[in-house]
Amino acid sequence: MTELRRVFNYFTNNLDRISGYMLEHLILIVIAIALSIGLWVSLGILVRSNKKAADSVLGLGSLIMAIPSVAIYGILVSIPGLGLSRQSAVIALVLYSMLPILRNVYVSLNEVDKSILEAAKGMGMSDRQILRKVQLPLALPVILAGVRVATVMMVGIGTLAVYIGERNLGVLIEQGLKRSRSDMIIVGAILVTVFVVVIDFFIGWLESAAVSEGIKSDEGSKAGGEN
Amino acid sequence: MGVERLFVIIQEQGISLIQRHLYLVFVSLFFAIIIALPIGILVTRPPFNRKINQILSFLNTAQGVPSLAVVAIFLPLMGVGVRPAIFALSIYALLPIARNTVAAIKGLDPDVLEAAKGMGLSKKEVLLKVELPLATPIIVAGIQTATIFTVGTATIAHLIGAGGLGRLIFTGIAMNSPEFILAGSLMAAAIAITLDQLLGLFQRRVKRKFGG
Amino acid sequence: MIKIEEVTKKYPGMERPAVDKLSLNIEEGEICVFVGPSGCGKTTTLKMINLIIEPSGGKIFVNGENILEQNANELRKKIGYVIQKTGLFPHYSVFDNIAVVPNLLGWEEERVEKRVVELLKMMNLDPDENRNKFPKALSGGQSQRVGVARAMAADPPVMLMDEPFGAVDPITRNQLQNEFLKLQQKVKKTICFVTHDIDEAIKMGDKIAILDQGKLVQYDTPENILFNPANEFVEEFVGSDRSLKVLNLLRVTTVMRKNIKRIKEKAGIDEINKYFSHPEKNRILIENDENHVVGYLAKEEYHKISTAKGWNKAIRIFPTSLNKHNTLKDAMSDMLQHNIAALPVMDEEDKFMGIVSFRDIQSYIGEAYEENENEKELDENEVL
Repeated sequence: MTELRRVFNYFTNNLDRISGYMLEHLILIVIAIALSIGLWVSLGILVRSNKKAADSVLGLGSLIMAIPSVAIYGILVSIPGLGLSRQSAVIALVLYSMLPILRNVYVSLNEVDKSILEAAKGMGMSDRQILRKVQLPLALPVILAGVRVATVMMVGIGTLAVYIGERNLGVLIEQGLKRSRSDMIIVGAILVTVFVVVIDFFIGWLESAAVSEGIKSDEGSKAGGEN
Repeated sequence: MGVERLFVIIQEQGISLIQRHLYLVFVSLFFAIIIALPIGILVTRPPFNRKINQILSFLNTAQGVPSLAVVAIFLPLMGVGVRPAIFALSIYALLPIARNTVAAIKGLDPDVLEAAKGMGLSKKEVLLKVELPLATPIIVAGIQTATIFTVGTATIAHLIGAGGLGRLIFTGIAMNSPEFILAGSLMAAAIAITLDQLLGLFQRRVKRKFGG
Repeated sequence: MIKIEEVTKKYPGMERPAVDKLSLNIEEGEICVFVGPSGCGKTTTLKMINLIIEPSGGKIFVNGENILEQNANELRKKIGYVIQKTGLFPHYSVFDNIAVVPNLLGWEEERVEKRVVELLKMMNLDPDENRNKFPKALSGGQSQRVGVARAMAADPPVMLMDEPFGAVDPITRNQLQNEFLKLQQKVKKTICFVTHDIDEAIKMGDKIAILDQGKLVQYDTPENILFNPANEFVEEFVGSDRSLKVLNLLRVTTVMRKNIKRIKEKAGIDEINKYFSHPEKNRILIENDENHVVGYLAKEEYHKISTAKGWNKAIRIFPTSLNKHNTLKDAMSDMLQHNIAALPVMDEEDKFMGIVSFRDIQSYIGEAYEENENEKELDENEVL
């Protein structure tokens, strides 16, 4: 009981600091996801009809995915010019999101029914128009599923970025471990978990708002994280 | 930064740290598998299978809980050392295995199961002779994912005193020593990539064998 | 309207060309059906007309212009395209699907709106009920209707239809075919239609092009294809039930007898007696004061009743009637179903046009074949 009270007290006494950490966490994720979407969606569009190129970039993506996040951070901060900086954290997150986003973009663009593409072509739509008006909207649910997986992952890996200079929710856990302060650890663990759930829910909501009624499946969104 | 110093660090500390790292990974995976498989099978049986979609989305969400939070939360409960680390790693690793087991069995063609029942197989026989073999490729894929996660999470286990390659990285960061950081990072990356490739190979073989 | 000149399509690594120096003309306002076994090159030929497939050689003119000198996308906006799997955009509503080409052409909103509503009505789809539906909510037949409407949206003079009714059940297919033929009478498009089904070809085509191994085997009217197959391949492809297919092709008007003697229902028995005194007259049509045929009277039944007052009771009402669009097959099917040897043909206003009898159909078909057999023999004699 006293433990619980200590956790609660820590939370209420440090609301200012905690909301600051949360904001920092959010800023990091927003920067990283914006860059990731721009970069990996474009790359996915670029390689969409080139299986060889797609296979090699996807291979690279899954290689990066296998490397422990702490190791990626370690390698990045060892690069002169990056060091313990936000750039290192952002680059790491962007690298990690490569596989989930790129794979879903590539697969979904190529899964668009051939007859739909033929009809689009037959009506005189240019390749650009077909991409913009047909392929991307139809691929959107799967692309967003990839973005969702990537974002959730980023929140988690982002907490570890406190060891390379970020000041986000991970600080609570880092400091808690360092000072053996279980109240801080518990508050930190709960908050990052809540953060993940909220972000996950938010993107799910975004998905249902952005996707055309005509292509919503009745069984809910298919998670793109099948391995 | 000195490349020579990097090699010296790897030579002096590499073997014992890799051993500890792999020990953490494999022991945790062992527990994860023996816990996750029965749980995965259990929730696909009645009466749990009615809630199967909720269970799957719970497992998916749980997967999103940051590894640092999972590892850290066992410090107040179990203190420091190898045991709490293995406990945390096992719990984290069982999520993808359980999820894939559930998803694989759920995704089986109902016609095949119907046919199996129609041929007079008992429930146990259907499970052992039809469901599990057909689900094996996806379950193995789950184990592959779990392995990669665990190699990564095990680097964090150093933070609760379990050792492993995380020691070099975190010490390096604290001492501002790129050689230490890089030595630990490169070895951890090498282990992860090697295991990933081996398991990928194994998974493809399983897939061929079971026609997944 | 469409002129195909020596067109060839050769795929790399294939021994023979998919389409081999094919030439034919499609007249304005006609439906030309490409038909043949799979791999005969019919779909390839169709898809070369809107450059979905690029020809390896030869020329194609649409409306006098060589399409190979045109921008493919601009060309396609002027050619309606209907495919078997519809290719409707699942993320677009029915309205937006039909509006694709008008929007590409930059039509004003009101004009698009008006056109889409008009097309939905034309396709027998209630605009209010269907415009906001998504394709997944449509039945197979409805999807095809929307597909046809979409192809016709910008009122292109030329339409390409690649097995447009191939994916629906037989009853819906028949319905769609009939609706489309009716529509075509109004809109008079120049249509290139691909099917593998010879019955559909005979029903839909003004002309039929039979293809085999990339070559044109016979290009003719359905009648000539049936009565005068160019060679054994065509004969075999058309099938041994050619005469049954003829029934599906010919309209009841070809064998209908007009100017049939009719008697008013109020007529006296003298008139009837006089008529039936002729030994070969066994039936007579009865009409009311407004000249509507109400039924017929058979001699034996008339004699059974034969009271001066009550002869009207012997009048048999026709169980059904035909219209001028019905085929001989429709007529025979109705006759068999109702066990009757003749049926009247009525116009839109339910006015009597004439009568079609089982025996007339039989003799017409028989004669048509005899003529052709004789011609054939003559040909052979000439050769010898």
